[in-house]
Amino acid sequence: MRRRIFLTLLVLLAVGSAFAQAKYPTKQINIVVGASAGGTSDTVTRFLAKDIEAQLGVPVVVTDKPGGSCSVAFEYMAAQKPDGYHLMYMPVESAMVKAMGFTQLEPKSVRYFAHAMFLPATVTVNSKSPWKTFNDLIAYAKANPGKVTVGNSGTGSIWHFAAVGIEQVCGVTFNHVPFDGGAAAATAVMGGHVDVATVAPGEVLAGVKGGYLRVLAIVDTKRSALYPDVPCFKELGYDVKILAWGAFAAPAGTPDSVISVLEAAFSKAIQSQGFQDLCVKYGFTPGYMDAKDAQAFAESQARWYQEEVPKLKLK
Amino acid sequence: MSKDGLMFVGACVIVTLFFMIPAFSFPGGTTDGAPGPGYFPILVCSVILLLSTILFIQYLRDHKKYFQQNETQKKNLPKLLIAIGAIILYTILFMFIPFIPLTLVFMVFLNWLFGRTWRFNIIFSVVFTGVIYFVFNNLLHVML
Amino acid sequence: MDWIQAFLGVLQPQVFLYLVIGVVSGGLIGALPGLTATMGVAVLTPISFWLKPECGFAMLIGVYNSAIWAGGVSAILINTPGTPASIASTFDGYKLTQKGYSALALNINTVYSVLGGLFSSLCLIFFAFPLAHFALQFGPAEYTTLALFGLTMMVSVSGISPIKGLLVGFLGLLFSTVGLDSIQAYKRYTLNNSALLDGLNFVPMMIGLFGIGEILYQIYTSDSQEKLVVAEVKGTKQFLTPKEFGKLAPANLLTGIISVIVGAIPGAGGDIASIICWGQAKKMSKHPEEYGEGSLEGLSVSCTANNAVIGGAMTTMLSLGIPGDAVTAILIGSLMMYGMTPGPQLFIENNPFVLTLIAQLILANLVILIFGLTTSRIYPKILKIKKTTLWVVVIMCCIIGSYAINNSYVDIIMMSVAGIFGFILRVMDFPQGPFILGMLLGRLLESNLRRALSLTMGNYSIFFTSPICIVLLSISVLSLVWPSIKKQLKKRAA
Repeated sequence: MRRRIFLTLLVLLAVGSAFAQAKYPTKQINIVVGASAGGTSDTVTRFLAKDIEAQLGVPVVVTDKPGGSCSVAFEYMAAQKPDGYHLMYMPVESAMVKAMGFTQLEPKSVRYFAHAMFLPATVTVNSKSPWKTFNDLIAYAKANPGKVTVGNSGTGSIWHFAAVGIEQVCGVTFNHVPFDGGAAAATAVMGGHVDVATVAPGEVLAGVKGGYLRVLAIVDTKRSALYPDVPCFKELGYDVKILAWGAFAAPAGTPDSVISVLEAAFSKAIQSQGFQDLCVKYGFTPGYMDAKDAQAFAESQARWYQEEVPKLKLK
Repeated sequence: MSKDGLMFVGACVIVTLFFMIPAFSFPGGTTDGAPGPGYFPILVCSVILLLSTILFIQYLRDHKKYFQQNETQKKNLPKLLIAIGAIILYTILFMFIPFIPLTLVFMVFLNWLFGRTWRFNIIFSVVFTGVIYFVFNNLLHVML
Repeated sequence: MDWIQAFLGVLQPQVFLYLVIGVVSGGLIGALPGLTATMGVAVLTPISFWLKPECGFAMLIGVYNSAIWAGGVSAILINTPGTPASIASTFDGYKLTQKGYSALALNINTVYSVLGGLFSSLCLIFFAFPLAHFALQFGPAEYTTLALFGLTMMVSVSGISPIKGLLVGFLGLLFSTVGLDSIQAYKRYTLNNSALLDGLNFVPMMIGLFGIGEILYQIYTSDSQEKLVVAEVKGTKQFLTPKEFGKLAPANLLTGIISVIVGAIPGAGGDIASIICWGQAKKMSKHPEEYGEGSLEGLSVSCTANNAVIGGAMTTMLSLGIPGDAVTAILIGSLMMYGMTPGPQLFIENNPFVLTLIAQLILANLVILIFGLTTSRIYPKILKIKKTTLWVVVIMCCIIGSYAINNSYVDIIMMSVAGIFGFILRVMDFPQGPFILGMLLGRLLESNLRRALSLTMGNYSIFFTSPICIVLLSISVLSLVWPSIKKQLKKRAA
């Protein structure tokens, strides 16, 4: 008898917990973004949040907590309850901040559950510059080491690494000039204050369309949908190591059942036609990865930056 | 000699030194000749020290008492200090205590400090806390 | 013909409705300290995606213009700039309120904000491309000299004692160095706190310095015997006479021109423009002694300046696709969401839409004019409530507002510290304006100075070869020595 009661209780417990798991989500989900409104991170997150809201039937609120290349938001998210109601958009910087010494957190400290897209750098020059192709630029840079000024979006930012990566694979030396954001670097190229900018495709689009700028190459394995005529790095015979990317993560300890709900919802949202269209407009490369792959990718990126950052001699 | 003036200048110098001393150990400029991270702070600190010296001399000749000039201010000083303390305490506790109870207590306290009637105090605090919570949390999606 | 269509398009009931919604919500957002125009536009942007582009943009343009205008309302009534662009409006506006002329001050704010907005819209229509190309000339060296020119304004906003003003101003510059340095990404004074990596946030410091500082000062100096209302509204005078209007015209025209240019230059916005214009107008005025004591000219100039910046910022946004300030950066994002790329191409491909945008800009200003003049009688009623009620309300708004900007706890602590600092400054007869100016210009000055030098391998001659640099440096020197030259000239004449 007692045994039976015990068994019944056990079954009830199992059913109950299964029921509790099935109940996620029951309330508002918050997604933090470690950057200001209007930027890439914010746009991507808000776009997907609308889709997730429709799928899961609870409000999904996006909050911006900018600061320290996303480390402020990172620290905030990692300290939240691992119940699936506090998520974060993880840009490539999430794999860099530990190496940069901004925070102790790294991809290992949280659970990635979906990878959304990649964002390649462009090699952009003023349309009046003598360099018509990427090889022209490299030939000049080889003959005049340190003469070519390259604007990036800030020291230690992903576009700074992109320029460093180009230096490494092409065997040249640039004079790196950090600006406050990619748009500022693109503007400086338009005004002729620096020679080259290695920034995102969307950031130079207006200048290219208006005839002020020329994109020489896309630092990617594929051509960009925004610039179908511009060769990609692979075609030019170079290896690509540095891409910006965006993923989503939850605090460590978030139960698997919750992760799988999120994984399914984000997988649908990221692979939706709407998001693919958004990617084309902004020059992203769609690149969905599931939880396991996203986690492994982020950790491998973190290892790479851990090795590369000290070589920059920032400190 | 103006005591308050000299104290202010002294405080400025201390703050400036707090910024200036570490600045000397910042790394140097880049190889291409641009000045390093310590260049600008040291420049600014030097100007502040110069200005402080001039002001110091001015205050030595000045006899003005800036704080506690009259009876009203003397009387209000405790109220002021309590208000400052409450604001600082509130902003620190903001991190640890949920918004609604903390804000209710804070507002009731302020109204009491400013000598309002209890009836007004309670109604005002409850309504205003509710309005703020609704506007910021629900309309503007600020995480309170 | 296209223009008529554009205006008719905006006057469609639906579009017009969203424009009015934008203006009204912008009026509330701007008037609350801590809720800036940037935040208003950012919050409403996701909502605008559900709407048709012209409706969505009508709302955003309404919010943008109206929030900048309404920032002046709280500057005038409670000495707290609602948005950074209205810092200079506190200098004269609040003094007018204290003298009982709040309705007049509010109407000046409305009328001149609208005039500034309309003037800059005209510049946008006629000079968009030349202005944008001029703005492109600004490289690191030019920004450095622009920031230096801005710094010379510290003396003008210092009031009676330039030494005190300069000391406070340089403290502001010093505080702007907190955080990662923008060239080598070296951590300066961050106390190992990741929230300080990006430096001290400017808006909470401003709110604390002006808002909390003022309230603490009032707590300290209020006599309980005195009738505890904030200010009597005694002046029956509500509008400027045509003669006064004519007198203010030259200063405001010049202000409009300077502000449109400053607005067009990426990275320099209404905050810098309004202080520069106020300081410049003071130097050129026949009555500089009235500035900061409730000068009608001073107030009108600061109001013209902050709204005239909008048209300038829209210039670079529409013609080159470059954000002129934080708000236009968000607007570019939403244009791209709608599948339009701002830039010269937009003028050709989507010309009707550009005309619609400009028409919306003009109509938004007209709506603000009506909204502002009708509410100017209501707002001063706020001042009739008991002082203590206002104290509690302002303290709460300052705290929550500064948290709302970045959802940052450090910001509210900095805000209260800045409040105490602001109070001490007031008691010690130090001006607060220069500190804010220093914080505003510090990063612009330092990062561009070092960037320029890294471009030239440490050669300072770049500052003396660029024509823009030479002009800016000369007027900086001139504006420093002008007061003494003026004195000499007066002596000689006498």
